[in-house]
Amino acid sequence: MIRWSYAINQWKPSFDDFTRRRDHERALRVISISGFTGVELTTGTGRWEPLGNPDQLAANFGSAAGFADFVHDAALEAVSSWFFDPLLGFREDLSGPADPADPAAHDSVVSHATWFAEALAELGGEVLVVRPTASAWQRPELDDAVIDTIAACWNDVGRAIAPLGIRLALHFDFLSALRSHDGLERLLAATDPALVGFSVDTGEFAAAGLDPVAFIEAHPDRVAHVQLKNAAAVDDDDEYLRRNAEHHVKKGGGEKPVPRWFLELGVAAGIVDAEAVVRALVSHGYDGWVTVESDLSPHPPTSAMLNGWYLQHVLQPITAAS
Amino acid sequence: MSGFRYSYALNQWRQSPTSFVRLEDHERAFKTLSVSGFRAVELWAGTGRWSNLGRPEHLRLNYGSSAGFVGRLAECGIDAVSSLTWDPSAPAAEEGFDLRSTSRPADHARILAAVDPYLDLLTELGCDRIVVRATEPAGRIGADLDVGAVASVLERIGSAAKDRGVRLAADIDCLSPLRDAAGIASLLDSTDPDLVDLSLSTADLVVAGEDPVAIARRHVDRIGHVHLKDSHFVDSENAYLLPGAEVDMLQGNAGRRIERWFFEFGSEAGLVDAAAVLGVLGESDYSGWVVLESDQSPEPATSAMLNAWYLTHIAAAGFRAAARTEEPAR
Amino acid sequence: MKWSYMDHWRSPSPNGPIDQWQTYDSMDRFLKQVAAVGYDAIDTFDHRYFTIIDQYGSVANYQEFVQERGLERIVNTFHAAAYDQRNYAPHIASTHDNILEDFRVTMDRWSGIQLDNIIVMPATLYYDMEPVTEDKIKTTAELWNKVGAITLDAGVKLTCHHEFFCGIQSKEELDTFYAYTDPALVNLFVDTAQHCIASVDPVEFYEKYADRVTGFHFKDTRHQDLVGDYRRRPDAELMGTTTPRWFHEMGDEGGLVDFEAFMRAVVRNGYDGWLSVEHDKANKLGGDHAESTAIARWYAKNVLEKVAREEAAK
Repeated sequence: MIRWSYAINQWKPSFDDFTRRRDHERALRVISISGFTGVELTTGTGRWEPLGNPDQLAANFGSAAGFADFVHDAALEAVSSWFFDPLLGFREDLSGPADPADPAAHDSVVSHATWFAEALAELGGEVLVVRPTASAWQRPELDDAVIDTIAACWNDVGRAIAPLGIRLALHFDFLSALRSHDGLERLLAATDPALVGFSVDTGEFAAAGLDPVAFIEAHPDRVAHVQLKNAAAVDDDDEYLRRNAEHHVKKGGGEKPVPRWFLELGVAAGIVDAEAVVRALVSHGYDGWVTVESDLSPHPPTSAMLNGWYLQHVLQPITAAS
Repeated sequence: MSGFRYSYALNQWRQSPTSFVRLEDHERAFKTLSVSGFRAVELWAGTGRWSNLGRPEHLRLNYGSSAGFVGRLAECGIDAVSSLTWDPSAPAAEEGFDLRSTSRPADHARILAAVDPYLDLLTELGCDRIVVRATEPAGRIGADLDVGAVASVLERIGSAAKDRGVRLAADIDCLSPLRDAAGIASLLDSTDPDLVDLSLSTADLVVAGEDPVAIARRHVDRIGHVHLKDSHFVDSENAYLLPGAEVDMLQGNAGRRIERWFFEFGSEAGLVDAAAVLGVLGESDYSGWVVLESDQSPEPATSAMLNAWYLTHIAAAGFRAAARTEEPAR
Repeated sequence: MKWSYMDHWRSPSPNGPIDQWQTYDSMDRFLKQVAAVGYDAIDTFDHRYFTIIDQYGSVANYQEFVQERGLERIVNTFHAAAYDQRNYAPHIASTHDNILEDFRVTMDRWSGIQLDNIIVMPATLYYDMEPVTEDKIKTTAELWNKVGAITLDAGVKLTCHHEFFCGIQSKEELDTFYAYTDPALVNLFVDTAQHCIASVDPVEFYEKYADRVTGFHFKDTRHQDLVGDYRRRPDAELMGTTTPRWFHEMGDEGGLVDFEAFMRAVVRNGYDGWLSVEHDKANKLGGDHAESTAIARWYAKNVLEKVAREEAAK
């Protein structure tokens, strides 16, 4: 059965936004009343990231359980998932970026992933969604040794968090190093299917010029998580290879420019066929969370409400008919 | 060099019927304009108690009197009300939502009655310029227009205004059936230069596919008012003929879905050569107002500040210096 | 009398609010707006160094970009450090070597232009320093004396900016700190709002230390911290109980700072440096950074400069 959650990331456009309890409460209530039953958290560090990691949850809500109560009070069932990027580093333990392509960093990646997974289990969650490697501009080369090192890291993480009841899902994005040199398929082949799943982010796939439905059809057993969002454009000029592409291309729009890469589901300007994605998931009996996402939205409540309408009126009828 | 003065249109601050109502919001706009170097403001006619700068009775109620409003402006560093824009065809609650058209002679007497309170207000404010929308949109009244009827009512308004020491400038906007060079010429040829001036709106001309510099040169003796603003687009598909062009074209509801036609100066996509327009005015005897306008701006303060920077550094070297040497009138 | 604008900025974009560092265009628009309303220069944060290198190639190139838009230069940088008791805490001597090295690196990075001041919050968050003792303040002062020597060596004054939530914020703590620091090496940067929130009268405080003052943040607040927000965990600045928005531009209604008295004191004491305007987080509760920046400059021009002329004529 598909369960629907919403990603919290869109509510924090700047480092000093979305810090107050009232803001969190209102966001969770918007998600809930728009028809979603779960929320996906994202990684952050420091005191202005109250929802960014287990230590900050404890500092602000007493404990992970305290935050779970807060989520339930907003009429949501669970924190579905947590997005974890090991390359960010954490002030909480003075750890720097931990690169899965660096064998020396594996212990750090595993321990931080476990830190998140333990909290996630307390929050009723099921999937740790991770950024498997750096951006393409940071790692233009991707030889077999690097793929094997990255794969070994995530195999270790999958093994470490499985006993907690948390699945691992590697998330592909349109700036990822995995976009070149057939990296996504090679990493898929190099990882243990029993330990490592994938997250299909439909907007990121589309922006990278990939078909998310084709991926689901090709690898239905590896799909452990879905982030459902629309995209406005394809990066067909390989701008993802540009230095600091996160800043210049994703947020700044690049040379085209693209004012906003990701859109709400079902809008005319979008290039993702969300109905086809859901049909593909249903046909393969996908059983798990689908997180609707609208990162980079200029109007977060509006995006959540429009996506909520689309969920109730277009997508849920597809799942109900199955 | 002629002695024209700069002003800024306040209309951009009113982004919805409920915005720009509180007096502290007015004050912040006045101060923003003042410190940006603008020492005069243009009002626009409206309706309802929330349009409290757009109706004479509401303006007086909110500021005690017209003099009270002028005094508040002065305290904020604004020396003058340059002008007021008025659309005779816009229905107003205060006038029973009367529907009038400058192209219908039967409506003319009521148009003259409706402008009267505004002329009183302008006299009280020490303002000598009313900018009157010449026609309804082409999509509403059709492209075939009785120019004589429009000319007639404009002359009658112009005459009533002249009696109060106010001059009329006809505003031919980008939705008007008279928006092109021929239409502008036909209206000017049909009206008495003693009673009707032209309001040169640079962005509207660009949208209409005309060159504002050429129009300014051609009619330089008739220019009585200037709206200086930029546009990024030409209405090359004649979307202005759509029945609902005010929404369908100008707000992007249909066709090319352009949601914002008008911009502050300084962006690469801008089509108006402000320096050239100011050059034509400077070489002439023009001594009226040049009103910067940025309606449709999502960031009014930003647009005003960017226009000020552009005038200072690009288009009009004297702008900033003039603004700095003047002390506010008290 | 020259005014500089301190960095803080948000504007809308198709993908949500952005700051001025997003693109060349957003920086261009920011600088033009600041210049349009009569500011003469800007201040910035020195951690912007990385963005500057990425986008402009060098600090000097960025300053040139600033100058091309009609502003004189970059006057001050704010050194926003990530304080942590484990490795970066002025009251803990074992962390000092790390901090000193940080300033050596920073001064080298910014050596391409001439700055007036490098501004620091001289203590950790209050809750990381409490109980705030004389010994801890003395240790803190020893650090800043050493840092001041490093920055002075680079031709830049070290100056201290006391956030209401930092470990040195009460009148007594401030007096102790300035007694232990060397006037030749450690200066004071008076943020009118921060002191006001901490119930330290900015005018009295300034008058007392006027000969050590090398700059100001002209900034207003509507609230004093009367409930102990300054030591609130995990955060006071954005998550305080008193208000979601501590800071307002000067010239706004409801402000608590007496700027006219403050300006008179500035003139009386013969201060002849730059005057910086700041209103960080002015976008909270629906605020508009551009408008706040214009309103503050309007107030400076139409009220404070006149007061200054009056005071100077006395």
